[in-house]
Amino acid sequence: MEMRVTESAPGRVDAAPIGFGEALMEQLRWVWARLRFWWLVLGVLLAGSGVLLVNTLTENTWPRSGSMFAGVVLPLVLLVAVSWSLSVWRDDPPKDRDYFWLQPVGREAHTLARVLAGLVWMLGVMAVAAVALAIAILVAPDAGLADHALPPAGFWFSWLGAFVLSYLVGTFAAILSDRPAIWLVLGAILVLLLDGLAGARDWQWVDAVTNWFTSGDLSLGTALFAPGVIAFQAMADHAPAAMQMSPGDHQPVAALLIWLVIMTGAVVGAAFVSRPR
Amino acid sequence: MSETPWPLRVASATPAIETLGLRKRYGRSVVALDGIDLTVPEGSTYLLVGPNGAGKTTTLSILLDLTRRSEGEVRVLGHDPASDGAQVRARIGYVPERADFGYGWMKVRALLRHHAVYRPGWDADYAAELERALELESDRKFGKLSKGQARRVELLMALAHRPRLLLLDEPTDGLDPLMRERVLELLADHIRRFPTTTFISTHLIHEADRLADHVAVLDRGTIVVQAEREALMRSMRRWSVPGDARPPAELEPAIVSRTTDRTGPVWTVWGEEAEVRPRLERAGVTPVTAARPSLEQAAVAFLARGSRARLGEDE
Repeated sequence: MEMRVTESAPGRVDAAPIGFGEALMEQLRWVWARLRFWWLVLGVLLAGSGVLLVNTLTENTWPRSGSMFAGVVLPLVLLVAVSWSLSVWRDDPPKDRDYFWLQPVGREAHTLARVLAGLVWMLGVMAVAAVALAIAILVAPDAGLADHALPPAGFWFSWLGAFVLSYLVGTFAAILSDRPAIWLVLGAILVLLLDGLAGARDWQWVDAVTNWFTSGDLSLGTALFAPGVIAFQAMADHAPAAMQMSPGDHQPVAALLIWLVIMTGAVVGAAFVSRPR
Repeated sequence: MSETPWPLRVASATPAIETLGLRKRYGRSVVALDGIDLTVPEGSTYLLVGPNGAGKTTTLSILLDLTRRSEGEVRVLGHDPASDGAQVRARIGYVPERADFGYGWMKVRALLRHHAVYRPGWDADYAAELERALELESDRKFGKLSKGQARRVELLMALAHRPRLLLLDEPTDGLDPLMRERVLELLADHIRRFPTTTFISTHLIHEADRLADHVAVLDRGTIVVQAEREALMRSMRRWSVPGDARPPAELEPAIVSRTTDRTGPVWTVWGEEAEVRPRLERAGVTPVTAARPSLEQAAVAFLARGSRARLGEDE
């Protein structure tokens, strides 16, 4: 039997799907409203970091605070970025995404609009944090930083880049899985476990694989952590010359760039793969 | 498919929904839909009835591309929902079976605003009118509403942009009798004011009885009858027969079901009265009465037939 097509409707102008721009604007509003609790948490975190930062600057304790930032604050804020991405999708896990998918907009575009909306707000918060940091460095008395010099561009890039990368990793899991946090934790444990075993048992091919995630020059771990470490250590060295990264230090930035491209592709791919079953 | 005296297809030059050989399998063994052919004429109010688990919600999900079909063809308002889903969804108002999607933190007013943004045809005046009629509490969080209250919010969300096609999955489920009555009146009024194709999936047949002009009965993923309501009503009779009556062999294929009520055996037979009565009398069966079944009785008769066939009672 041949299928017939009905295009006309009695007495009504036909509705059309909305575009990506309208969906993005609405998702920006929605994410803003949904993450109200997060704004409070981030406000407290930022205020706390600011106090800590000004205190360490005025007390001239950068070397200690550099390690603290690298070892404690940076992992913490990366965790915040992952949690942020999971929160953006908490209402719409794949098994219960019908309402989101029922909206009259291309599903891939709608998914990417949500991802972008979450990213825009997160970058907004990070921009505020960066401005606060810059002001603190510029105005703090006796900071021990020559001429109150601002950190190099690599610092700002790595600061924002590592955040974006964490957000993308979390988003990738949240788009595809009903339990993204569990998968992320299990994935991290598995990689670390394999990495440890590969080192102990001399499994070279396993080591080569895990190095892409842990400690290789271009690994995910390097991308997430090393740029921050370098920037903070550069600040800790107090000397203006050290504020400029040496050529060898650009490797982590390259890792960050590579992984940003990989994860952006992965998230876009997930938006296309994720669909009703 | 075996030949039956009753229709399995509806003819329409302008179907709003049409499926051909629609199949849905989950894994290798579970067949939710087994090659169904649906034709929902544009402007009709079409009732898809069947017991829980018959495949009604799966059918709706496929029409909305919330579930992918395994085989077959689907057209909704001229579009294939699997490849052109946004076009389909822009023209549809949908009330899902479950009202517990994850936006419970939103106040009803905010949820309606969010919903409206996606629908350029949203009629704010009509939405306000529906809000009053449905007695919505717009300042309450959606997640704090009772099932019935949430259902009313979803009805507003489905109706206020005056879509060409309404897909309603158990629309009166969870409503108290008074609100159920009001919602059915409101639906009837909506259909009268804004010509709409309405596809209602329900197992509460008597509630949607007054709205329907087309009916299909779905049983275990198979359409067992599909007809215009009037044709169905005109062509079926419930025959009260003597207790010792045996059905004539020539009439056997037309007997939809055999039950017993307080007066004795009742045969639900497909065929107009003037045609069936002489055949019964020729076989020595003198019926007491021939009554027109209600829509619910007709649907239940078809479902009972399927159930008996599965149990092997017909043999």
